[in-house]
Amino acid sequence: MNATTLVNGVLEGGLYALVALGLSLVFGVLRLINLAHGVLVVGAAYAALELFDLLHLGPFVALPIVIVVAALFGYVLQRVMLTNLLLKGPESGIVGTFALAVLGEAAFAAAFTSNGVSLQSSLATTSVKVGGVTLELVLVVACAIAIACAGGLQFGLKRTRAGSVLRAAAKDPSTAELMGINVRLVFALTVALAAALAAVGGVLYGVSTGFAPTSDTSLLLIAVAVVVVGGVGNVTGTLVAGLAMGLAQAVSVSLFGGGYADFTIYVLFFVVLIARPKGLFGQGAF
Amino acid sequence: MTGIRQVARVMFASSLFALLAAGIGAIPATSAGASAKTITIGASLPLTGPLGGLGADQEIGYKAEVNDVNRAGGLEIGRTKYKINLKIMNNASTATTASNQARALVTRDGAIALLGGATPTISVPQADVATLLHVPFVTTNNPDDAFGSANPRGWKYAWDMFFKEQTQAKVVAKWANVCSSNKKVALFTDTEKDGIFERPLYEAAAKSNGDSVVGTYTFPPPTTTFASFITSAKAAGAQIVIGQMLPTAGIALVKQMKSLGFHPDVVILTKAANAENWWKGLGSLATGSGMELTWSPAARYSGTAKILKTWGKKLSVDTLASAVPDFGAAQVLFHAITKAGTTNAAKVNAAIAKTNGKFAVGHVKFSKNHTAVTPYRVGQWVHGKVLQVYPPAPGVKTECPMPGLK
Amino acid sequence: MVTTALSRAPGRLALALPLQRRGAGALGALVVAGAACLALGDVGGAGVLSLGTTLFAYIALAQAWNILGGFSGQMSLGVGAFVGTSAYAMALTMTRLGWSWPAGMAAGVVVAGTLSGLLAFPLLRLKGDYFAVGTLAATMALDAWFDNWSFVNKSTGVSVPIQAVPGQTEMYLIGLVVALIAVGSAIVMRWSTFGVRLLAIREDDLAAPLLGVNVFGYRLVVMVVSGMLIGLAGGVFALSLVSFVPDAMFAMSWTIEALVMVVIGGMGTVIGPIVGAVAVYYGITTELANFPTLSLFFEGGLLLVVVRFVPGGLWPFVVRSTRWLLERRGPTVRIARATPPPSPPSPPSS
Repeated sequence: MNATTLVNGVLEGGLYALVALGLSLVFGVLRLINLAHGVLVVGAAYAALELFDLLHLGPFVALPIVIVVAALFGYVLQRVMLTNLLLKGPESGIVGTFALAVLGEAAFAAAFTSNGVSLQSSLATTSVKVGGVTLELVLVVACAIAIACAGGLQFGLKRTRAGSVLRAAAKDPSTAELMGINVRLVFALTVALAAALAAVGGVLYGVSTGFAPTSDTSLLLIAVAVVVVGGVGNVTGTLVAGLAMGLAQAVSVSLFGGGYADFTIYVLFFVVLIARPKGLFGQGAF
Repeated sequence: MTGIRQVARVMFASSLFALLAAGIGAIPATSAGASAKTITIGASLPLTGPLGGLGADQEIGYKAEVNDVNRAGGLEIGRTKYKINLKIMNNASTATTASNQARALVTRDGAIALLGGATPTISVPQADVATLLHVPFVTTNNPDDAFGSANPRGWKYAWDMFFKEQTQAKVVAKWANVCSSNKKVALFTDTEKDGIFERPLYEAAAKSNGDSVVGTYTFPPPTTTFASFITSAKAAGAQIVIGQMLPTAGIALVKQMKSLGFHPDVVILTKAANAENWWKGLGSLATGSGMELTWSPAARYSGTAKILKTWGKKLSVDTLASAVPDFGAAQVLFHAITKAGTTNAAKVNAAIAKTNGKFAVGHVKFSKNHTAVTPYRVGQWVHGKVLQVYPPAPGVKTECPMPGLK
Repeated sequence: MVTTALSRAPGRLALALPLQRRGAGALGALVVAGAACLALGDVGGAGVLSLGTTLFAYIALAQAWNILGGFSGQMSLGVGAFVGTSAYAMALTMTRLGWSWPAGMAAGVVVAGTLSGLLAFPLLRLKGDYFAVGTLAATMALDAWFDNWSFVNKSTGVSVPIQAVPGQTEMYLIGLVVALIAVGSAIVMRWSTFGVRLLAIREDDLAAPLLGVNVFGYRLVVMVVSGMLIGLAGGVFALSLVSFVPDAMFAMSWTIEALVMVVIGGMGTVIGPIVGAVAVYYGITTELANFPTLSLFFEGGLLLVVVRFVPGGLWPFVVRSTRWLLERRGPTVRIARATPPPSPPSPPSS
């Protein structure tokens, strides 16, 4: 087990955290396990691929466009679909978002075939050396963005007026409505924000590795694990849990071989959930 | 308002039930639908999901042979020509669905024989169904020993024609040694069935070439992060990278090798490098990477010229390499039905057993464990195209050390 | 939101009726339905037999999920854990110990039930979404463990000895019996004192203990019964699949299928999961697969339409619509005063 392995493991965890942030937000505010979250992430990567094919935009030039499109999509999705489903109980939300995931996978397979693809960027093939440790540059960037997003989100939630409105709406929707908060609008904006975060994660994921229409499932499962371990809706917790997951995976791979990488994640997930149902760092903002 | 909603709902629900009822009513209709001059052949393929790339190529291969036969007037069975109705279903890469669909194809649609889906995960449950229902089943895209050993009692109605794992390991290791004089090998295999099967074989093949295996790395199929493995392989001084994994994992592995400054002479990732998207995903990084070929235009089998003439412009070599074995499997099945002169399952099955001749994938003859060995070759990606490099093809030079990573 | 959804779940009316009579009537209807299915298997061809076998197994699976999710209010995302362990127990006892399929299936049921009981202790401490996520974590961990466990051949998988697999007619009967057991269990759970208390727990798990109901005990029983029923269904799946790998048997897709069937058909009702299993397995999975490239679009689209526009599921919708139509005809045939006519979705609670 050497420093390179461990540090790159932590950096990979940054990517997990980035992918998980949006899920955490929706889970925390809307009490919805969004099974379509992985599809949003993969969809962003495909959108960037399409922008490259059509306009030859590099992934990072395409990123702002993808973010805006994803946010709009999230907003519309919540307005026309999710609100109504959620009113019918959590099981409708799960089935509805599962249906969206099925539709998304079908659309990606139809448009881009089922073969794996990837976003090309020189960032993914460059490394930086820090004190004798070689780091993948794309992971360094992903980790930095994850920290920035988590920090921004934390600040926004805790220190701004919009943040307190959001927290109020999450804590007690009915009372918030009585206080004059447009809860439906707040929820729709939350999903838009979550989709935008998913888009950032998706493009970075697509740059750093390969993806396929069905990549959403494993992304979703890791994200759920990270969210629960960090505490639902706890932004800082999600970030730390993501990094910790990456580190734990690297350690277990070094000790027991790669076959146990998933096993480690899910056992950790289960144990933390049982020992501390509200996550290692508590439930956070909501 | 309430009334309108209510009426709309009633209409919606009744139309849903009507749809269901129509479907139920259609059961006998479809099974009786096979007219006197038509035979039905069923195939449940992984058209979407993780194996979707393979399934799509299978569809191309199976359909092409059926179209060929139908265009020539149909399949001759006992002096009468029958049109072939190829019924394809999508199992979305799920074993349970693949098994259920194989059953439905036989019991509901009246398929007289089945063509198989790619990989043992899909194909073996289908072969089990064929065994239970006594229906001839021919498949490909399943390495021989994994398929042959899947039924300890021995297959009866199921047949597989593909390469042998040991040959695969040997050919890959040989080519690696042609390309690099460094004798240090790093092995990357995922924990899918075939990965587990292949890893010790690669290890043995490398050793028999006098190479030493300095790192073996295994990981679950969806893994896309490899930094710790790459660091370890680089530290061990490996210059030959051999692996077997899904395309998404393969693309990630090559990118991360480049990023972490690991520049081996040889990279061949079987299963991963088989799709056109390999080049799309990696671009010039993929230059010089190896790819397995289960068919190659350089091989000059029966019908190669015709295949190139019909498809050469539309389909790339890497797609053809994956579609022609399926084309060949359909050829073998139809040939046997004609030979049997009947659609009787036992007789067709006996005719398959006697197969001994030249088809699109080379000479096909089934051994005792119901598998036929078809050749295995190595190709190399150069400028978005694949060229056969092992066994060496005339006029093609192997690019070594791998230019993409240098 | 949760409470509004639950309070609209149909069947509340049933509580006002004499419990035994209602339950006994349902069991009687079940026997008649079983006999009809038996006759159908007799006259139907091979197509009906193979379709029926799988459909019955799915009915059992959906009903098992419904008992836990619909009656007890515990949303499980861990169906695969019990399908998987049962199928593996069956295959291993049959291949390594030479057991017959009934013994193997019994072993599967016992193992699945035991696992369910063991998991109940940590999992039942969790509430709502956390319970759901906990069952998911347990299943994923089991899958990853089996992938690495050489005793079960790692990810290479195992198979049931193919010569020991019963013929098509017998498989149909096995499936039918398994489905009858599952539906019968649901009826007993629904229309008994046990069921009433369960409902009380589902509606308010803080008030129930004050009335002397042992919340944990009830939920433990339900979890074990549900696990055993899933184990039964898993046995049928194992026999029809013959060969399988961990990723297929511990898959998330088992949960999704069961959940989708129950929600589409009507959660918390006895007939709903049956309707849902028929609609989803027969309507979507089987019939739509005839359109290979479009099937996934159809599947996703239909699911969305149903959850969006038919609140509560198909069966309760049919019941309500019938009542509503009857009520409009005149007061003489009014049979359901206690339930209001179907209303548009309630105003947002948010």
